[in-house]
Amino acid sequence: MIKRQWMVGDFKIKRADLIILAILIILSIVPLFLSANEALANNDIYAVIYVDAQKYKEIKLGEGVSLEFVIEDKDVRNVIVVEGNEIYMSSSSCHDQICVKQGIISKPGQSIVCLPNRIYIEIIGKEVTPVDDISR
Amino acid sequence: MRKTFVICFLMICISVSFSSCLKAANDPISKTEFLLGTICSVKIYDRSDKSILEKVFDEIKRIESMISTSIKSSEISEINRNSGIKAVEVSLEVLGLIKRGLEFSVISGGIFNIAIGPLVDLWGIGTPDARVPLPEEIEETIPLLDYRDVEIDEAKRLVFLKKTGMSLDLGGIAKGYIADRIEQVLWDNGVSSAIVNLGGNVYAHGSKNGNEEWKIGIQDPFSQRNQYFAIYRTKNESIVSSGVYERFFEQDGVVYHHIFDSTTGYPVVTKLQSVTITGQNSETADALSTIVFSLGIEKGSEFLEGFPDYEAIFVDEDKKIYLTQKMMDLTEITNESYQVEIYD
Repeated sequence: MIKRQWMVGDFKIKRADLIILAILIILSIVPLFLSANEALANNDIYAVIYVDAQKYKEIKLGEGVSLEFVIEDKDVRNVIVVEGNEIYMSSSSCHDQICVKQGIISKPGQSIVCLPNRIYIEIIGKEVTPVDDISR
Repeated sequence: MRKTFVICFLMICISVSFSSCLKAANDPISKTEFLLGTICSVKIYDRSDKSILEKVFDEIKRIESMISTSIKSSEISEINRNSGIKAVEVSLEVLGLIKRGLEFSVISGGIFNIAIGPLVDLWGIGTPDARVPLPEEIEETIPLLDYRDVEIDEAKRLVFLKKTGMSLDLGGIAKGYIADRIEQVLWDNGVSSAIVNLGGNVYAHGSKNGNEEWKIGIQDPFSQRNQYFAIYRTKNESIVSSGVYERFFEQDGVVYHHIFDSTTGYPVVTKLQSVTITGQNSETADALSTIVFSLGIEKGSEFLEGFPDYEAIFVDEDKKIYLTQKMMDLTEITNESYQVEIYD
């Protein structure tokens, strides 16, 4: 059997090398597609709630989700309601009530902040948001 | 066999770089904390090293601990405690900030006022004790608001407030200054794609996905928080807004916002709802947003002529947007209930 080989500069390249090369190229590209598919298939959106910058709870939003919970600590009493894709602050012990007045949020990139009680709710997801941030 | 290893190694390199590209394009690393009396968040798109976020937040905390009026051990608190008593030695950094704050006070004739502290405390807007002060309280406070009574000895790094009860408040430039410092930390750590948001003061650092523009929403002053009326496209620029909506309180049906006129002791009376300033230096943009908001559209846009690298978007109470053609080209108005007027 004749061994096929090519010269590239000082390197001799055998057929076996080419096969390995081909396999490695495929292997290196596969994860790309895998993660791309995962991102496409995974349209999940989550609400992440932070209390004083610590992650407090992560809730997967979507059809059938319905819950209400209370964050309590000293003077802090905030009630958060989740219905399907929507989340809002239904009541708060804070003095300005900005978080309550803000109402419902439901899209990735949106957030509710209660500055006095240091609570921050953010919706995250793969959905492309029209803006990268907001100047206030 | 050696070649095989070389090839293997190269392929692994390529594979890793592909997957890191993908990561960079999708999910930024981010951190959010309650600092500077507001909420601060930083998103980094082109690095996955979370220690950079820590460095950024350490920088915020470092500066806050020097200049915050609510931190008793800060240099600014020390100056304020010694008002009418003695001069206080400060760091070079704080001295620089005070000097620049004074410059803005001087060029704006006191519209931007670094010595506004006593009035801010009197009204307490943004705190549970917010209230409309009695007229005599306001009368007593006005004489304590003169920035010309702030004495600086540069050589000895001394700052002295001449009258007892005076106090400095760097709130009008602090977030801008800190954003500029963060900019430096980001560049120093090889970050060229990030968004810094300090309570609504945005720094769009570098560019998005290699060389794309960032899209920054501009807060709609008539809507709830985080609803925008326009999208502004930019690279490596600071976007700072001032408006009646951010900090205010209501008493007897009247809304009182947090930008004060130190000659009257009351919030600035203006037809404007908000002003957004864009430009390289965030500290300057921060100061300009307060000044231009207080001056109104006509005088404000005139004032801005002195700052050719800074642009503005005005919104007035009749839902009219005023901007230059140059700005209009970079801005997409997304809320159709607004009218647009282009000025020179």
